[in-house]
Amino acid sequence: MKRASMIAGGALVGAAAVMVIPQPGKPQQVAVAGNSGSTGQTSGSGATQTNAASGSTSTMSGSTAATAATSVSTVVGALETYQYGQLQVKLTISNGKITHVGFATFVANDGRSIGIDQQAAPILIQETIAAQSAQIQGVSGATYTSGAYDQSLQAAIDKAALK
Amino acid sequence: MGTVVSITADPGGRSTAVARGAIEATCEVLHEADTTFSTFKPDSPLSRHRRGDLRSQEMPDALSEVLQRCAQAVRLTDGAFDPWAMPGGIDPTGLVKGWAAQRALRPLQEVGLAGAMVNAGGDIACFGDTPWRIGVRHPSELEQLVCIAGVNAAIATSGGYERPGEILDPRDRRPVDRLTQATVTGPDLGLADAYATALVVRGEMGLVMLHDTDYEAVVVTPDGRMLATPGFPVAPSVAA
Repeated sequence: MKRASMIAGGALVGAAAVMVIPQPGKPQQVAVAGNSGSTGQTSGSGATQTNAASGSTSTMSGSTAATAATSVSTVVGALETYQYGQLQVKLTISNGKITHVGFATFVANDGRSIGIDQQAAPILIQETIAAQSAQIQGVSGATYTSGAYDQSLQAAIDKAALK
Repeated sequence: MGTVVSITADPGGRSTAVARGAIEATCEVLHEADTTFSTFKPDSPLSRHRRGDLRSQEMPDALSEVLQRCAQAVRLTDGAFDPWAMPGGIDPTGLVKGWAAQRALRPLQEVGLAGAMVNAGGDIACFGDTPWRIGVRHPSELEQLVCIAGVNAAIATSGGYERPGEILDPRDRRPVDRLTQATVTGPDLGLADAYATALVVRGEMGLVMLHDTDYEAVVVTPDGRMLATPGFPVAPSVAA
């Protein structure tokens, strides 16, 4: 269900890349990456101002690209200023789900303005993976101290390797 | 350095004895690093340097190299990683663990093993013919992974949740967690570690600093979203 809607979202935004990570026996993990060019039409006059940081998923209508049953919209957040620069977050929403998170504007404190949308827009990962079935050789997690090692997934992997 | 290191080696065409010897040399490198950089031992070169009690001609090469790397990381992170801005004097801990693990990989490379991995408390340096499959732990769902990374060289993760209050914003020296967790892959583990810490300080907006670098990231935001840079080396969920 989720997969179908995500791919539909990808198709709608045209040039957007669709990355499918196979996960047999489970719904596939799908992330959609787009860029401003492909969603540009929807982010024009109709874009609403909302606080993107709150993760708001309110959809909007009237976008030119979303003519089919699927509604795709782009929401641009307010320009936020923080210690390292100014930034606007842009969310693409397909059928009420966030399918893409991008940056509309980033201006570093030294005045550098970076065209993030085209090349560096982050990809949203939709689903986690069960560690037990993942067939991994190591775990990267925030620092476990020696006290917490015994309970860690890494300890379990190490034990299995020593058998 | 208060952490557990796991070493995994694939001997390839080499004998098990050769691999064991290399692992011993690796342990030796790690113990040396601990001796130099311990902040618990008052006589360690780092502790003496922090007190201003170490003459420049006494400074071990390892310490000056780490300080140099720290200075480079300060530049590359626009100051979001800054060991000099810590209360109580310079604290390069955020880079040292990764730097030491990266260095500890050398003996394993030199004897011609097919591959090896040094995992220092979740920060991993590795090499090999095929990428290592490394799970990126989810910060709150302990049985879940954010994704699986195919790692050729290094992967480091930072998060404020395991040692709350430990990650400070160098700009105001207050604890921050603009990201719940940040994981960075790239060619060098010390710098990957510094970038991961800097991302927790800067938040998702900080992903811009990896633009045009060899480093990629996957992060978890405080509201639970999981984001990856477009080049992040995601491995298939199940090994082929």
